[in-house]
Amino acid sequence: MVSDEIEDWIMRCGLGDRQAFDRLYTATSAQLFGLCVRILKDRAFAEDALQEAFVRIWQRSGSYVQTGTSPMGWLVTVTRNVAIDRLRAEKGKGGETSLILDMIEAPDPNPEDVALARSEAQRITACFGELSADHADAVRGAYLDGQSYADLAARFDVPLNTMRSWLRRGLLALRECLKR
Amino acid sequence: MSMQDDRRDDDTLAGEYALGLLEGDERAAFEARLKDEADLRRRVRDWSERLSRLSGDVAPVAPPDRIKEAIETRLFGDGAEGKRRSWARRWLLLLGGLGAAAAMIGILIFGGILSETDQLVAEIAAPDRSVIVDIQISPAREGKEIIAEITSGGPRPDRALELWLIADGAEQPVSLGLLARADVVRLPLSAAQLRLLPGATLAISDEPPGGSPTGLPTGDVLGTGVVIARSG
Repeated sequence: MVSDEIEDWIMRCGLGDRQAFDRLYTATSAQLFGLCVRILKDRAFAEDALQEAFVRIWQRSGSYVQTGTSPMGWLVTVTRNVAIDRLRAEKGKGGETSLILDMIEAPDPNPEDVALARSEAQRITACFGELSADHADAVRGAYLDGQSYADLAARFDVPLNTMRSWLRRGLLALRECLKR
Repeated sequence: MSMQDDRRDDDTLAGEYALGLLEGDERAAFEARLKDEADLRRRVRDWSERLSRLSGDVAPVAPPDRIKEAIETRLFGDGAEGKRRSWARRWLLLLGGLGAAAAMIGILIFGGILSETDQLVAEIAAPDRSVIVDIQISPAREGKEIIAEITSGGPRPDRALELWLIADGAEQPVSLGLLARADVVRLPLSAAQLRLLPGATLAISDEPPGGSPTGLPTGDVLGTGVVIARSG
């Protein structure tokens, strides 16, 4: 899957090109559905979430460029946000408004910064390997299982403040590793 | 371990936000800052980008065919047939009609409200920022025109950049004109086009020197942007 092709399809979706939407769906739906299944752990909910995610992808494709993210980064973020919203709604935490990450406009001032941010992101897997197992699992649990601080504290059987401190240290360590 | 270890800098906060861990007042306070702080938005964007790579560890699962059909029905109001259904109908189905464009802009500018003094602007950019066109739309009372300035990049040799308007409800893109290199170009707008601009998508494409021969984009789409309101 070539990133440039995906980017082109997203931009063509912004122009109302349904053929580009077809191609984008064919190329990325299995990965994005896998993510929905992982987060929601229920096929029916995951199917609803994938449907909602692609509706948003089509509707918001015109503002993709303004987010400054990579094409897969954007697709994954949009999909995850939908799935996490669904997860929280199911858990009865409906009071929270949905995440707005996929709508954030944060273009970088120049091409070098864009390239740097994306190449840095590619090292995240290696950097996860440098974290202590607990810290890494906590960050993964928040991202891939949509767990809150309270969920994570219960899962690891530690006080809430300990979990907050684990997670923040995990993020700091990741950032230090990525900046190297 | 000292207290320093638990110190939360903006980058850590941005990471927690991207993970969905900020709740309640903390989250509201962070989102309030996001409106004004481009640096903070970039930090959230960078964490989203990094964390999105974690999805690479998740096994792909092929979705059942009915999902694609359901999406098409929702988006286009049809199944495999009737692919010519109009954009207008699609947008009505999607967004519930009037007010949809305003709602979209509202989201884009974090809940701001479009007023008469607002100026419409757009930045049309290539994803890698190699081509950037800044767009300003003069208020109606000062004559109807769109002011385009290429601030980065430009047409390829022996090619032209063409500017397109894709309005909500439009059947297809409409050409607004050609952009010259390194010049501020003023292009006339009809009253109808002006009304369509809030929330519309603008795009630039690579075309032959005289512009698209077909009236629709024929070359690569180099950049897109959404028209938003800026408080005047």
